[in-house]
Amino acid sequence: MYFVVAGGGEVGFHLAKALLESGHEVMVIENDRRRAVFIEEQLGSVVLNAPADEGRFQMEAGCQRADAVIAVTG
Amino acid sequence: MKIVIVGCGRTGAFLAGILNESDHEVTIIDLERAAFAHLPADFKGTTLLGNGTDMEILRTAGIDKADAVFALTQGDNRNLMAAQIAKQVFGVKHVISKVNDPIRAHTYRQHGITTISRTTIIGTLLEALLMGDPEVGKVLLERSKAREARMADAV
Repeated sequence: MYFVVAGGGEVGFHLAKALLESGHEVMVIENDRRRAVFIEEQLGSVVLNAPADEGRFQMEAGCQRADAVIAVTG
Repeated sequence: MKIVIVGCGRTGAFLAGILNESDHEVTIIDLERAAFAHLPADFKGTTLLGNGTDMEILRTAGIDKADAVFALTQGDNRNLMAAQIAKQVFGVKHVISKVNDPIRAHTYRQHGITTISRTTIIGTLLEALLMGDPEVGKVLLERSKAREARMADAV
């Protein structure tokens, strides 16, 4: 399944990691550039460095085709 | 009508003022006491200090008896949250939310929340003025200018 995770903090990061390990497709939307770089180093190209509360970026992350969008920002 | 307004910035206070003139029962909510200074001096409605996305505050404002709720803070997220609570929890008939992000204005409109985006409204109006297409905003601009003149006279 395809999941969009809004927010790459502790919850978002570990959730994304667990979903990827279970074989799902994931996109994390993380606004903080350094945090986004960290996630990319750990999990690969599954991060969109942008604010998760902008419609434009929600669409860019593929929210329209996602099976679930999980909002876990701070 | 009984009307609850969330957010007493320029927009919320202006709307509260004109609804007040036509004798509606208005309650306006804001987190900051200083925000109520935006209201006109002759405002007869109720001001309520608190968070407009808090169900208890909304209950205190009388949302369960409200005919209309306007969510007009500076934040899209807060506005959409307040609007969803008003519509889905309290079943308010008329719920209108200010949403500056045009894409989310469209998305939430498709989910039954009436949204108004100043971004596209002002942009569309400005383009029409530049292109010499006065019909686009004629009524809106005339009414707005008249209200601005009345406000200036009242100061």
